[in-house]
Amino acid sequence: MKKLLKEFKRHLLDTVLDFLWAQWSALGVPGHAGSEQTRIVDPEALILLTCSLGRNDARLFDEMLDWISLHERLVQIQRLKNMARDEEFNGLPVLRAVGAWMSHNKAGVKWRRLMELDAAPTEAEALFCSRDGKPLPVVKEPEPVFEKHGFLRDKVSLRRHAQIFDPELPSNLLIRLRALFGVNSRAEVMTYLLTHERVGAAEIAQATYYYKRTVYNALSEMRLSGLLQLWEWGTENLYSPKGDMWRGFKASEWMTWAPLFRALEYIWKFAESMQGGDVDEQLAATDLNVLIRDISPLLQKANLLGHLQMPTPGADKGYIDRGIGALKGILDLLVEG
Amino acid sequence: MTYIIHHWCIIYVTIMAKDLDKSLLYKALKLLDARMGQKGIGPYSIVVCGGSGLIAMDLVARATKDVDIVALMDADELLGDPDPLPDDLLGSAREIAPVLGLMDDWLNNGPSRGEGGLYRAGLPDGFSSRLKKEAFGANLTVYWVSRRDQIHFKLYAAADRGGYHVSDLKELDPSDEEMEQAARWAMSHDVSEGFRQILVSMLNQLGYEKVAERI
Repeated sequence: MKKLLKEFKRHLLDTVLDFLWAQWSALGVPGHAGSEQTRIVDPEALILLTCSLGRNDARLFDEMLDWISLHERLVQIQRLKNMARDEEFNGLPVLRAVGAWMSHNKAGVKWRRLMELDAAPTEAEALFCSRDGKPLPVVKEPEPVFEKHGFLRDKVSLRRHAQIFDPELPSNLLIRLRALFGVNSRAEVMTYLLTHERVGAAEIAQATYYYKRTVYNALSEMRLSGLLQLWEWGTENLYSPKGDMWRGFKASEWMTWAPLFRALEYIWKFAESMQGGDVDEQLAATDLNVLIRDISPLLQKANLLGHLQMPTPGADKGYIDRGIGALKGILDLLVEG
Repeated sequence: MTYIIHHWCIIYVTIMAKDLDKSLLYKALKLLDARMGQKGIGPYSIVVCGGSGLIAMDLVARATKDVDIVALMDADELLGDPDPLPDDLLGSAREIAPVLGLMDDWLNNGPSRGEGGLYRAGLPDGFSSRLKKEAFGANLTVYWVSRRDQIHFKLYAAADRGGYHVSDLKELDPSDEEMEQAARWAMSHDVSEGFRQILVSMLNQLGYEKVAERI
Protein backbone atom coordinates (compact mmCIF):
# COMPACT_ATOMS: atom_id res chain seq x y z
CA MET A 1 0.00 0.00 0.00
CA LYS A 2 2.90 2.34 0.78
CA LYS A 3 4.15 1.91 -2.77
CA LEU A 4 0.69 2.61 -4.18
CA LEU A 5 0.40 5.83 -2.16
CA LYS A 6 3.93 6.92 -3.06
CA GLU A 7 3.27 6.39 -6.75
CA PHE A 8 -0.02 8.23 -6.48
CA LYS A 9 1.67 11.22 -4.86
CA ARG A 10 4.23 11.38 -7.65
CA HIS A 11 1.52 10.99 -10.30
CA LEU A 12 -0.54 13.72 -8.65
CA LEU A 13 2.31 16.21 -8.51
CA ASP A 14 3.49 15.46 -12.06
CA THR A 15 -0.04 15.81 -13.41
CA VAL A 16 -0.79 19.04 -11.54
CA LEU A 17 2.51 20.67 -12.47
CA ASP A 18 2.14 19.68 -16.13
CA PHE A 19 -1.36 21.10 -16.06
CA LEU A 20 -0.18 24.36 -14.46
CA TRP A 21 2.53 24.73 -17.08
CA ALA A 22 0.02 24.09 -19.86
CA GLN A 23 -2.44 26.66 -18.49
CA TRP A 24 0.20 29.34 -17.97
CA SER A 25 1.55 28.52 -21.40
CA ALA A 26 -1.90 29.15 -22.91
CA LEU A 27 -1.85 32.56 -21.26
CA GLY A 28 1.53 33.47 -22.71
CA VAL A 29 4.22 31.85 -20.57
CA PRO A 30 6.86 30.36 -22.89
CA GLY A 31 8.79 27.16 -22.48
CA HIS A 32 6.08 24.51 -22.38
CA ALA A 33 4.80 22.81 -25.47
CA GLY A 34 1.56 21.66 -23.90
CA SER A 35 -1.56 20.53 -25.62
CA GLU A 36 -4.22 23.12 -26.40
CA GLN A 37 -6.51 23.77 -23.45
CA THR A 38 -10.03 22.56 -24.01
CA ARG A 39 -11.45 24.68 -21.19
CA ILE A 40 -11.33 28.41 -20.53
CA VAL A 41 -8.39 29.45 -18.37
CA ASP A 42 -9.21 31.38 -15.22
CA PRO A 43 -6.20 33.55 -14.24
CA GLU A 44 -7.24 34.09 -10.61
CA ALA A 45 -7.88 30.41 -9.94
CA LEU A 46 -4.59 29.61 -11.63
CA ILE A 47 -2.69 32.06 -9.42
CA LEU A 48 -4.22 30.47 -6.32
CA LEU A 49 -3.21 26.92 -7.26
CA THR A 50 0.26 28.11 -8.25
CA CYS A 51 0.61 29.70 -4.81
CA SER A 52 0.15 26.29 -3.21
CA LEU A 53 1.06 23.29 -5.36
CA GLY A 54 3.15 25.49 -7.65
CA ARG A 55 5.66 25.81 -4.81
CA ASN A 56 6.97 22.42 -5.91
CA ASP A 57 8.37 24.01 -9.06
CA ALA A 58 10.32 27.23 -8.46
CA ARG A 59 10.67 27.97 -12.16
CA LEU A 60 6.93 27.71 -12.70
CA PHE A 61 6.27 30.01 -9.75
CA ASP A 62 8.62 32.66 -11.12
CA GLU A 63 7.03 32.36 -14.55
CA MET A 64 3.76 33.23 -12.83
CA LEU A 65 5.41 36.33 -11.32
CA ASP A 66 6.76 37.20 -14.76
CA TRP A 67 3.31 36.82 -16.31
CA ILE A 68 1.44 38.81 -13.69
CA SER A 69 4.08 41.54 -13.89
CA LEU A 70 3.26 41.87 -17.59
CA HIS A 71 -0.51 41.43 -17.26
CA GLU A 72 -0.98 42.94 -13.83
CA ARG A 73 -3.68 45.33 -15.01
CA LEU A 74 -5.74 42.38 -16.22
CA VAL A 75 -5.75 40.56 -12.91
CA GLN A 76 -8.95 41.06 -10.90
CA ILE A 77 -7.76 41.46 -7.31
CA GLN A 78 -11.20 41.57 -5.68
CA ARG A 79 -12.17 38.37 -7.45
CA LEU A 80 -8.89 36.80 -6.38
CA LYS A 81 -9.65 37.69 -2.78
CA ASN A 82 -13.24 36.44 -3.00
CA MET A 83 -12.11 33.15 -4.47
CA ALA A 84 -9.29 32.71 -1.96
CA ARG A 85 -11.57 33.37 0.97
CA ASP A 86 -14.66 31.51 -0.25
CA GLU A 87 -12.77 28.32 -0.98
CA GLU A 88 -10.21 28.74 1.84
CA PHE A 89 -7.22 28.08 -0.38
CA ASN A 90 -4.05 26.88 1.34
CA GLY A 91 -1.87 29.36 -0.50
CA LEU A 92 -3.21 32.51 1.16
CA PRO A 93 0.04 33.36 3.01
CA VAL A 94 1.95 32.96 -0.26
CA LEU A 95 -0.62 35.04 -2.11
CA ARG A 96 -0.19 37.73 0.51
CA ALA A 97 3.57 37.70 -0.11
CA VAL A 98 2.97 37.89 -3.87
CA GLY A 99 0.72 40.91 -3.28
CA ALA A 100 3.43 42.57 -1.21
CA TRP A 101 6.06 41.80 -3.82
CA MET A 102 3.89 43.12 -6.66
CA SER A 103 3.01 46.31 -4.84
CA HIS A 104 6.68 46.77 -3.88
CA ASN A 105 7.95 46.31 -7.40
CA LYS A 106 5.17 47.61 -9.56
CA ALA A 107 3.89 50.42 -7.37
CA GLY A 108 0.44 48.98 -7.99
CA VAL A 109 -1.85 49.97 -5.16
CA LYS A 110 -4.35 47.28 -6.02
CA TRP A 111 -1.91 44.49 -5.16
CA ARG A 112 -1.58 45.84 -1.64
CA ARG A 113 -5.16 44.73 -1.11
CA LEU A 114 -3.93 41.16 -1.02
CA MET A 115 -2.02 42.04 2.12
CA GLU A 116 -5.38 42.48 3.84
CA LEU A 117 -5.78 38.70 3.69
CA ASP A 118 -5.62 37.29 7.17
CA ALA A 119 -3.03 34.67 6.45
CA ALA A 120 0.36 35.53 7.91
CA PRO A 121 2.51 32.45 8.56
CA THR A 122 3.95 32.13 12.05
CA GLU A 123 7.46 30.92 11.24
CA ALA A 124 9.68 31.53 8.24
CA GLU A 125 9.77 28.56 5.89
CA ALA A 126 11.26 27.75 2.51
CA LEU A 127 8.96 28.93 -0.26
CA PHE A 128 9.95 26.14 -2.63
CA CYS A 129 10.27 22.39 -2.37
CA SER A 130 11.83 19.95 -4.76
CA ARG A 131 9.55 17.38 -6.33
CA ASP A 132 10.55 14.90 -3.64
CA GLY A 133 9.36 17.31 -0.96
CA LYS A 134 12.68 18.65 0.30
CA PRO A 135 12.73 22.41 1.11
CA LEU A 136 14.96 24.39 -1.25
CA PRO A 137 17.45 26.57 0.64
CA VAL A 138 18.37 30.14 -0.25
CA VAL A 139 21.56 29.84 -2.30
CA LYS A 140 22.53 33.49 -2.80
CA GLU A 141 20.66 36.46 -1.44
CA PRO A 142 17.20 36.09 0.11
CA GLU A 143 14.29 38.01 -1.36
CA PRO A 144 13.50 40.59 1.34
CA VAL A 145 9.79 41.07 0.57
CA PHE A 146 9.04 37.35 0.67
CA GLU A 147 11.22 36.96 3.74
CA LYS A 148 9.26 39.69 5.50
CA HIS A 149 6.14 37.67 4.85
CA GLY A 150 7.60 34.43 6.13
CA PHE A 151 8.96 32.78 3.00
CA LEU A 152 12.60 32.15 2.26
CA ARG A 153 13.70 32.17 -1.35
CA ASP A 154 16.42 33.65 -3.53
CA LYS A 155 15.96 37.18 -4.77
CA VAL A 156 13.41 37.27 -7.58
CA SER A 157 15.04 37.72 -10.96
CA LEU A 158 12.40 37.78 -13.65
CA ARG A 159 13.31 36.58 -17.11
CA ARG A 160 10.79 39.00 -18.62
CA HIS A 161 10.00 36.73 -21.47
CA ALA A 162 6.29 36.23 -20.87
CA GLN A 163 4.24 37.08 -23.96
CA ILE A 164 0.97 38.96 -24.13
CA PHE A 165 -1.75 36.31 -24.20
CA ASP A 166 -3.00 35.14 -27.58
CA PRO A 167 -6.56 36.56 -27.93
CA GLU A 168 -7.46 34.05 -30.64
CA LEU A 169 -7.09 31.03 -28.40
CA PRO A 170 -10.58 29.86 -27.37
CA SER A 171 -9.23 29.03 -23.91
CA ASN A 172 -8.29 32.72 -23.47
CA LEU A 173 -11.81 34.04 -23.89
CA LEU A 174 -12.11 35.30 -20.33
CA ILE A 175 -8.95 37.37 -20.36
CA ARG A 176 -9.70 38.49 -23.91
CA LEU A 177 -13.07 39.88 -22.81
CA ARG A 178 -11.40 41.42 -19.78
CA ALA A 179 -9.11 43.27 -22.18
CA LEU A 180 -12.21 44.39 -24.07
CA PHE A 181 -14.60 45.28 -21.22
CA GLY A 182 -12.08 46.21 -18.53
CA VAL A 183 -11.39 44.47 -15.24
CA ASN A 184 -14.92 44.12 -13.92
CA SER A 185 -17.61 41.50 -13.72
CA ARG A 186 -18.73 41.90 -17.35
CA ALA A 187 -15.91 39.80 -18.76
CA GLU A 188 -16.87 36.83 -16.59
CA VAL A 189 -20.58 37.42 -17.15
CA MET A 190 -20.16 37.48 -20.92
CA THR A 191 -17.83 34.48 -20.92
CA TYR A 192 -20.40 32.53 -18.95
CA LEU A 193 -23.21 33.60 -21.28
CA LEU A 194 -21.19 32.59 -24.34
CA THR A 195 -20.55 29.12 -22.94
CA HIS A 196 -24.04 28.31 -21.66
CA GLU A 197 -27.64 28.33 -22.73
CA ARG A 198 -29.95 30.83 -21.01
CA VAL A 199 -28.65 31.58 -17.52
CA GLY A 200 -29.62 33.77 -14.58
CA ALA A 201 -27.68 36.07 -12.27
CA ALA A 202 -27.52 33.63 -9.36
CA GLU A 203 -25.89 30.87 -11.39
CA ILE A 204 -23.39 33.25 -12.95
CA ALA A 205 -22.54 34.81 -9.60
CA GLN A 206 -21.83 31.43 -8.03
CA ALA A 207 -19.62 30.29 -10.88
CA THR A 208 -17.70 33.56 -11.25
CA TYR A 209 -17.18 34.55 -7.58
CA TYR A 210 -18.96 37.88 -7.85
CA TYR A 211 -21.80 39.01 -5.64
CA LYS A 212 -25.22 38.27 -7.06
CA ARG A 213 -26.13 41.94 -6.92
CA THR A 214 -23.03 42.84 -8.97
CA VAL A 215 -23.93 40.29 -11.65
CA TYR A 216 -27.59 41.29 -11.61
CA ASN A 217 -26.69 44.95 -12.14
CA ALA A 218 -24.19 44.10 -14.87
CA LEU A 219 -26.77 41.99 -16.74
CA SER A 220 -29.43 44.68 -16.45
CA GLU A 221 -27.09 47.29 -17.89
CA MET A 222 -25.62 45.02 -20.56
CA ARG A 223 -29.11 44.23 -21.77
CA LEU A 224 -29.59 47.91 -22.64
CA SER A 225 -27.00 47.37 -25.38
CA GLY A 226 -29.51 45.26 -27.27
CA LEU A 227 -26.93 42.47 -27.42
CA LEU A 228 -28.50 40.26 -24.77
CA GLN A 229 -31.76 38.39 -25.01
CA LEU A 230 -33.93 38.24 -21.89
CA TRP A 231 -36.05 35.20 -21.07
CA GLU A 232 -38.52 35.17 -18.23
CA TRP A 233 -38.54 31.87 -16.40
CA GLY A 234 -40.96 31.97 -13.48
CA THR A 235 -39.70 34.71 -11.21
CA GLU A 236 -36.18 34.57 -12.63
CA ASN A 237 -34.75 36.44 -15.58
CA LEU A 238 -32.52 34.36 -17.84
CA TYR A 239 -30.14 35.79 -20.40
CA SER A 240 -28.38 34.69 -23.56
CA PRO A 241 -26.24 36.46 -26.15
CA LYS A 242 -28.20 38.04 -29.02
CA GLY A 243 -27.06 38.87 -32.52
CA ASP A 244 -24.28 37.75 -34.82
CA MET A 245 -21.41 39.74 -33.37
CA TRP A 246 -20.79 37.21 -30.59
CA ARG A 247 -20.09 34.46 -33.11
CA GLY A 248 -16.66 35.96 -33.60
CA PHE A 249 -15.71 35.03 -30.02
CA LYS A 250 -14.50 31.47 -30.06
CA ALA A 251 -14.94 29.84 -26.70
CA SER A 252 -13.63 26.68 -25.11
CA GLU A 253 -15.77 24.93 -22.52
CA TRP A 254 -16.47 26.75 -19.25
CA MET A 255 -15.06 25.22 -16.11
CA THR A 256 -15.45 26.55 -12.58
CA TRP A 257 -11.84 25.83 -11.73
CA ALA A 258 -11.55 27.22 -8.21
CA PRO A 259 -13.40 24.43 -6.36
CA LEU A 260 -11.57 21.79 -8.40
CA PHE A 261 -8.24 23.43 -7.54
CA ARG A 262 -9.19 23.51 -3.87
CA ALA A 263 -10.07 19.82 -4.12
CA LEU A 264 -6.59 19.21 -5.56
CA GLU A 265 -5.09 20.90 -2.51
CA TYR A 266 -7.04 18.52 -0.27
CA ILE A 267 -5.90 15.53 -2.32
CA TRP A 268 -2.29 16.74 -2.13
CA LYS A 269 -2.52 17.10 1.63
CA PHE A 270 -3.85 13.54 1.84
CA ALA A 271 -1.04 12.24 -0.38
CA GLU A 272 1.58 14.04 1.72
CA SER A 273 0.18 12.75 5.00
CA MET A 274 0.51 9.17 3.76
CA GLN A 275 4.26 9.41 3.23
CA GLY A 276 5.71 9.13 6.74
CA GLY A 277 6.78 5.75 8.14
CA ASP A 278 4.48 2.76 8.07
CA VAL A 279 1.00 3.60 6.87
CA ASP A 280 -1.76 2.00 8.90
CA GLU A 281 -4.38 0.59 6.53
CA GLN A 282 -7.39 1.59 8.63
CA LEU A 283 -6.07 5.09 9.24
CA ALA A 284 -5.38 5.48 5.53
CA ALA A 285 -8.94 4.34 4.83
CA THR A 286 -10.22 6.88 7.37
CA ASP A 287 -8.17 9.65 5.78
CA LEU A 288 -9.39 8.66 2.35
CA ASN A 289 -13.00 8.70 3.49
CA VAL A 290 -12.57 12.10 5.16
CA LEU A 291 -10.94 13.35 1.96
CA ILE A 292 -13.90 12.20 -0.11
CA ARG A 293 -16.25 13.89 2.34
CA ASP A 294 -14.28 17.14 2.03
CA ILE A 295 -13.90 17.21 -1.74
CA SER A 296 -17.36 16.01 -2.73
CA PRO A 297 -19.08 19.40 -2.24
CA LEU A 298 -16.22 21.08 -4.13
CA LEU A 299 -16.57 18.71 -7.06
CA GLN A 300 -20.30 19.23 -6.98
CA LYS A 301 -19.72 22.98 -7.18
CA ALA A 302 -17.46 22.41 -10.19
CA ASN A 303 -20.09 20.11 -11.76
CA LEU A 304 -17.61 17.26 -11.66
CA LEU A 305 -19.10 14.87 -9.17
CA GLY A 306 -19.66 12.35 -11.92
CA HIS A 307 -15.89 11.99 -12.18
CA LEU A 308 -15.62 10.71 -8.64
CA GLN A 309 -16.86 7.14 -8.62
CA MET A 310 -16.15 6.32 -5.01
CA PRO A 311 -16.60 2.86 -3.57
CA THR A 312 -18.44 2.24 -0.32
CA PRO A 313 -16.14 3.00 2.62
CA GLY A 314 -14.38 0.05 4.22
CA ALA A 315 -11.27 -0.83 6.15
CA ASP A 316 -9.80 -3.15 3.55
CA LYS A 317 -6.95 -2.52 1.16
CA GLY A 318 -9.37 -2.89 -1.73
CA TYR A 319 -11.14 0.27 -0.60
CA ILE A 320 -7.89 2.22 -0.73
CA ASP A 321 -7.05 0.79 -4.16
CA ARG A 322 -10.46 1.72 -5.51
CA GLY A 323 -10.35 5.13 -3.82
CA ILE A 324 -6.97 5.99 -5.32
CA GLY A 325 -8.33 4.87 -8.69
CA ALA A 326 -11.24 7.27 -8.27
CA LEU A 327 -8.90 10.14 -7.41
CA LYS A 328 -6.88 9.39 -10.52
CA GLY A 329 -10.12 9.83 -12.46
CA ILE A 330 -10.19 13.45 -11.29
CA LEU A 331 -6.61 13.96 -12.38
CA ASP A 332 -7.49 12.69 -15.84
CA LEU A 333 -9.55 15.86 -16.23
CA LEU A 334 -6.39 17.91 -15.91
CA VAL A 335 -4.70 15.87 -18.59
CA GLU A 336 -7.61 16.75 -20.89
CA GLY A 337 -6.81 20.43 -20.21
CA MET B 1 -25.93 8.30 7.96
CA THR B 2 -23.53 8.04 5.10
CA TYR B 3 -23.46 9.34 1.59
CA ILE B 4 -23.16 7.92 -1.85
CA ILE B 5 -22.10 9.90 -4.81
CA HIS B 6 -24.27 9.72 -7.84
CA HIS B 7 -23.48 11.39 -11.14
CA TRP B 8 -24.33 15.00 -10.43
CA CYS B 9 -25.27 15.13 -6.80
CA ILE B 10 -24.56 13.77 -3.37
CA ILE B 11 -27.33 11.54 -2.12
CA TYR B 12 -27.55 11.15 1.63
CA VAL B 13 -28.79 7.74 2.59
CA THR B 14 -29.23 5.83 5.78
CA ILE B 15 -27.52 2.47 5.69
CA MET B 16 -27.70 -0.24 8.29
CA ALA B 17 -24.87 0.26 10.73
CA LYS B 18 -22.95 -2.75 11.96
CA ASP B 19 -23.45 -4.00 15.50
CA LEU B 20 -20.47 -3.79 17.84
CA ASP B 21 -19.43 -7.18 19.14
CA LYS B 22 -16.35 -7.37 21.34
CA SER B 23 -13.97 -7.69 18.43
CA LEU B 24 -15.38 -4.71 16.52
CA LEU B 25 -15.67 -2.67 19.73
CA TYR B 26 -11.97 -3.09 20.46
CA LYS B 27 -11.07 -2.46 16.82
CA ALA B 28 -13.06 0.79 16.88
CA LEU B 29 -11.50 2.02 20.11
CA LYS B 30 -7.98 1.19 18.92
CA LEU B 31 -8.60 2.96 15.62
CA LEU B 32 -10.05 5.94 17.47
CA ASP B 33 -6.89 6.11 19.59
CA ALA B 34 -4.72 5.96 16.47
CA ARG B 35 -6.80 8.62 14.72
CA MET B 36 -6.49 10.90 17.75
CA GLY B 37 -2.74 10.35 17.79
CA GLN B 38 -2.53 11.14 14.09
CA LYS B 39 -4.39 14.41 14.61
CA GLY B 40 -2.68 15.35 17.88
CA ILE B 41 -5.90 15.07 19.89
CA GLY B 42 -6.19 14.14 23.54
CA PRO B 43 -5.34 12.23 25.58
CA TYR B 44 -8.87 11.59 26.77
CA SER B 45 -10.23 9.15 29.30
CA ILE B 46 -13.85 8.11 29.06
CA VAL B 47 -16.05 6.16 31.46
CA VAL B 48 -18.26 3.74 29.58
CA CYS B 49 -21.46 2.02 30.68
CA GLY B 50 -24.27 0.41 28.71
CA GLY B 51 -24.06 -2.46 26.28
CA SER B 52 -20.48 -1.91 25.21
CA GLY B 53 -19.39 -1.87 28.86
CA LEU B 54 -21.21 -5.15 29.46
CA ILE B 55 -19.61 -6.70 26.38
CA ALA B 56 -16.11 -5.50 27.27
CA MET B 57 -16.39 -6.89 30.80
CA ASP B 58 -17.83 -10.18 29.45
CA LEU B 59 -20.97 -9.65 31.53
CA VAL B 60 -23.47 -10.29 28.75
CA ALA B 61 -23.20 -11.99 25.40
CA ARG B 62 -24.79 -9.60 22.94
CA ALA B 63 -23.87 -6.87 20.49
CA THR B 64 -24.65 -3.16 20.68
CA LYS B 65 -24.88 -0.17 18.38
CA ASP B 66 -22.95 2.38 20.39
CA VAL B 67 -20.53 3.25 23.17
CA ASP B 68 -22.26 5.12 26.01
CA ILE B 69 -20.08 7.57 27.88
CA VAL B 70 -21.35 8.25 31.38
CA ALA B 71 -18.46 10.49 32.50
CA LEU B 72 -15.03 11.76 31.58
CA MET B 73 -11.96 11.13 33.72
CA ASP B 74 -9.21 13.71 34.11
CA ALA B 75 -5.47 13.16 34.59
CA ASP B 76 -5.94 13.17 38.39
CA GLU B 77 -8.53 10.42 38.05
CA LEU B 78 -11.37 12.74 38.96
CA LEU B 79 -14.69 12.29 37.22
CA GLY B 80 -15.98 15.06 34.96
CA ASP B 81 -19.22 15.99 33.19
CA PRO B 82 -19.37 14.43 29.70
CA ASP B 83 -21.96 16.91 28.40
CA PRO B 84 -20.81 18.25 26.04
CA LEU B 85 -18.18 15.79 24.85
CA PRO B 86 -15.06 17.40 23.38
CA ASP B 87 -15.63 18.28 19.71
CA ASP B 88 -12.30 16.86 18.58
CA LEU B 89 -13.03 13.50 20.24
CA LEU B 90 -16.46 13.33 18.61
CA GLY B 91 -15.01 14.47 15.27
CA SER B 92 -12.45 11.66 15.28
CA ALA B 93 -15.12 9.12 16.22
CA ARG B 94 -17.33 10.29 13.35
CA GLU B 95 -14.41 10.10 10.92
CA ILE B 96 -13.68 6.45 11.61
CA ALA B 97 -17.37 5.44 11.67
CA PRO B 98 -17.89 4.91 7.91
CA VAL B 99 -14.69 2.93 7.58
CA LEU B 100 -15.84 0.42 10.18
CA GLY B 101 -19.51 0.61 9.15
CA LEU B 102 -20.65 2.11 12.46
CA MET B 103 -23.34 4.68 13.20
CA ASP B 104 -22.07 8.26 12.97
CA ASP B 105 -22.81 8.77 16.67
CA TRP B 106 -21.51 5.41 17.80
CA LEU B 107 -19.61 7.25 20.56
CA ASN B 108 -22.02 9.35 22.57
CA ASN B 109 -22.93 10.68 25.99
CA GLY B 110 -26.55 9.50 25.83
CA PRO B 111 -26.83 8.29 29.48
CA SER B 112 -25.45 11.53 30.91
CA ARG B 113 -26.99 14.05 28.57
CA GLY B 114 -28.59 17.07 30.22
CA GLU B 115 -29.78 17.73 33.76
CA GLY B 116 -31.62 14.43 34.02
CA GLY B 117 -28.57 12.47 32.90
CA LEU B 118 -26.78 10.02 35.18
CA TYR B 119 -23.69 12.16 35.79
CA ARG B 120 -25.49 15.29 36.95
CA ALA B 121 -28.17 13.36 38.82
CA GLY B 122 -25.47 11.58 40.79
CA LEU B 123 -23.49 8.38 40.36
CA PRO B 124 -23.56 5.55 42.94
CA ASP B 125 -21.32 5.88 46.01
CA GLY B 126 -17.83 4.48 45.43
CA PHE B 127 -18.45 4.45 41.66
CA SER B 128 -14.98 5.55 40.58
CA SER B 129 -13.19 3.09 42.88
CA ARG B 130 -14.88 0.18 41.10
CA LEU B 131 -13.99 1.19 37.52
CA LYS B 132 -11.74 -1.02 35.42
CA LYS B 133 -9.10 0.92 33.50
CA GLU B 134 -8.01 -0.10 30.00
CA ALA B 135 -5.67 1.93 27.78
CA PHE B 136 -6.20 1.65 24.04
CA GLY B 137 -3.01 3.53 23.27
CA ALA B 138 -1.41 6.80 24.30
CA ASN B 139 -4.48 8.90 23.52
CA LEU B 140 -7.54 7.01 24.65
CA THR B 141 -8.20 5.27 27.94
CA VAL B 142 -11.49 3.64 28.77
CA TYR B 143 -12.77 3.08 32.29
CA TRP B 144 -15.35 0.31 32.17
CA VAL B 145 -18.19 0.56 34.66
CA SER B 146 -18.24 -2.30 37.17
CA ARG B 147 -20.89 -5.02 37.26
CA ARG B 148 -22.35 -3.58 40.49
CA ASP B 149 -22.80 -0.12 38.93
CA GLN B 150 -24.17 -1.57 35.71
CA ILE B 151 -26.84 -3.22 37.87
CA HIS B 152 -27.70 0.23 39.27
CA PHE B 153 -28.00 1.75 35.80
CA LYS B 154 -29.82 -1.20 34.30
CA LEU B 155 -32.39 -1.35 37.09
CA TYR B 156 -33.09 2.36 36.72
CA ALA B 157 -33.35 2.04 32.93
CA ALA B 158 -35.46 -1.13 33.12
CA ALA B 159 -37.98 0.54 35.46
CA ASP B 160 -38.03 3.58 33.22
CA ARG B 161 -38.00 2.01 29.76
CA GLY B 162 -38.11 -1.80 30.09
CA GLY B 163 -37.12 -3.66 26.93
CA TYR B 164 -33.59 -4.97 26.54
CA HIS B 165 -32.58 -3.36 29.84
CA VAL B 166 -34.68 -5.99 31.62
CA SER B 167 -32.92 -8.76 29.69
CA ASP B 168 -29.53 -7.29 30.55
CA LEU B 169 -30.51 -7.03 34.20
CA LYS B 170 -31.57 -10.69 34.28
CA GLU B 171 -28.30 -11.73 32.67
CA LEU B 172 -26.35 -9.76 35.28
CA ASP B 173 -28.14 -11.94 37.88
CA PRO B 174 -27.85 -9.56 40.87
CA SER B 175 -27.94 -10.80 44.46
CA ASP B 176 -30.69 -9.49 46.77
CA GLU B 177 -28.20 -7.14 48.41
CA GLU B 178 -27.04 -5.75 45.03
CA MET B 179 -30.61 -5.32 43.83
CA GLU B 180 -31.68 -3.52 47.01
CA GLN B 181 -28.75 -1.14 46.83
CA ALA B 182 -29.53 -0.45 43.16
CA ALA B 183 -33.22 0.08 43.93
CA ARG B 184 -32.47 2.57 46.71
CA TRP B 185 -30.09 4.47 44.41
CA ALA B 186 -32.73 4.52 41.65
CA MET B 187 -35.33 5.87 44.07
CA SER B 188 -32.97 8.68 45.03
CA HIS B 189 -33.08 9.78 41.38
CA ASP B 190 -36.83 9.59 41.07
CA VAL B 191 -38.46 10.17 44.42
CA SER B 192 -42.05 9.89 43.16
CA GLU B 193 -44.41 7.31 44.60
CA GLY B 194 -45.29 6.26 41.08
CA PHE B 195 -41.74 5.26 40.34
CA ARG B 196 -41.47 3.34 43.60
CA GLN B 197 -44.57 1.37 42.68
CA ILE B 198 -43.20 0.55 39.24
CA LEU B 199 -39.97 -0.58 40.86
CA VAL B 200 -41.79 -2.77 43.40
CA SER B 201 -43.84 -4.35 40.66
CA MET B 202 -40.80 -5.04 38.54
CA LEU B 203 -38.82 -6.51 41.42
CA ASN B 204 -41.72 -8.85 42.17
CA GLN B 205 -41.87 -9.93 38.54
CA LEU B 206 -38.13 -10.58 38.49
CA GLY B 207 -38.33 -12.72 41.65
CA TYR B 208 -36.93 -10.22 44.15
CA GLU B 209 -40.00 -10.21 46.42
CA LYS B 210 -38.02 -9.67 49.61
CA VAL B 211 -36.27 -6.64 48.14
CA ALA B 212 -39.64 -5.34 46.97
CA GLU B 213 -40.97 -5.64 50.50
CA ARG B 214 -37.99 -3.81 51.98
CA ILE B 215 -38.27 -0.78 49.74
